[in-house]
Amino acid sequence: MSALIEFQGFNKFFGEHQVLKGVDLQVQAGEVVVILGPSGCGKSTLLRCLNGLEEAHGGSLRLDGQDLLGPGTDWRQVRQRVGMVFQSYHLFGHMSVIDNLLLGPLKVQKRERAEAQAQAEALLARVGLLDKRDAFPRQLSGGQQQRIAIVRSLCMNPQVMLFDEVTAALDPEMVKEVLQVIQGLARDGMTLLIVTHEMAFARAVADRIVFMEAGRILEQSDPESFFSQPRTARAQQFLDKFSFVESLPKTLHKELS
Amino acid sequence: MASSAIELLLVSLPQLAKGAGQTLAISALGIVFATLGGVLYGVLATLGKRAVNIALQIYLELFRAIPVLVWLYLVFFGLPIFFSLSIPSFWCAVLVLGLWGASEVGEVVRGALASLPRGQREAGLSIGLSGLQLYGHVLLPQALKRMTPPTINIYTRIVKTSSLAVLIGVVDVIKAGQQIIERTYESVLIYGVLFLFFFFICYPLSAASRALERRWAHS
Repeated sequence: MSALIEFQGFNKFFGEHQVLKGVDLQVQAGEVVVILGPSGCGKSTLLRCLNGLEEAHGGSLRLDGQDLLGPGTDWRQVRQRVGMVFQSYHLFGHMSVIDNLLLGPLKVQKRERAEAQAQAEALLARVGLLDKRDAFPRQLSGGQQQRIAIVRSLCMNPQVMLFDEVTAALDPEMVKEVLQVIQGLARDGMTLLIVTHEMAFARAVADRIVFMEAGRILEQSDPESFFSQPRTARAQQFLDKFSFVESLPKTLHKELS
Repeated sequence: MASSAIELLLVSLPQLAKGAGQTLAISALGIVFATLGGVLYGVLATLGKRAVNIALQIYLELFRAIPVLVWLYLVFFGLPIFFSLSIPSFWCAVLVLGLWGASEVGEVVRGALASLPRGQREAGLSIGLSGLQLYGHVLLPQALKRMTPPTINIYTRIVKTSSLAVLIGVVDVIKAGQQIIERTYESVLIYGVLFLFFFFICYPLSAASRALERRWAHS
């Protein structure tokens, strides 16, 4: 069986600077892949290339067997199959929650309002925000906005969901409600590509961890082996930084908290 | 004195009204063209296409650097000479005001669009919106609040600047007033009427602009 998503020798430049260097990555349908790595390693760029927000500069990229880098690619069609959730939610501020959710289904997919609305409301209920149906984004907390943003993508019935550091802008107490939603999607068997700095979450949700640095994939393995015995020194060093706070001496720990 | 002033006004009213009609027609059409052109300019200017941006920049600088009056003369006297194309003075005024206004409104629209978070564009694209849908449903509606007050301010400038059309032969409200003054020497009275005329057109516009700004500040 061929992979749902297939990067091969994938390159991307920002001007002179090469941000992705011959990336090879395959994601099977139903797989949850978490991409880790230091800031600027190219992990967000990799996601953005997958739905055409960034242009590729070489190599190949396939979605469900279809070559995406050819000249005939209809990105509008691809984007309906590849949902994306951003760090800063980016809900449409002039629209109520339900209008945010229905814009794509009605205008892009030309679906029936009743059917699209029923789906949107069911998904809202699932993330616990049905009562916010007619609220405006500015009336919602960051965690609520991010859950709405996830639902906005889900309403398009995508094959894949991309999560680009979706909890990085949230207060700690709101991180949980967003991660729970993502974990629910993973449990349902949805294909997910997740970029995050939440290590415990990555370990819990991932089928596979991909560790990137400086535009390259350094290692890929199942979460247990990655977190207990990373194969590369760079990954070990990366993980040490995250466990630093947890392993601080008690007094210092107190001062920090 | 008072009764003769009222008499004069009553007698002059049809002539003034005719001129006012010209002023209002030129201004209204200029505003319509300025708005349509300005939105088009703003959208084109935010596409990130280099060649388009250079062309728009040249257009903008031409209208910023050259006085509207010179543009009026250029179009009114230049088109017949260089292109054997003769346009009535009324339409010359509409054309020049429209093009000038579009450059002004266009910069406001561009600025308003550019001030939206970049993520709005990306979020719209990522649910599969076309460029037209992205601007129509996501970007322009949100830019509207930022661009309306300064745009209405430009409208008042278009109304006031329309008086330059006198110089290419349009008999607008000011020209009509001058004709009456030439006949009657009642300059203070007639200019007083013109003062009120422009005030009562432009003041409601800027009041509306402020009201919209206030209302949107709370919504």
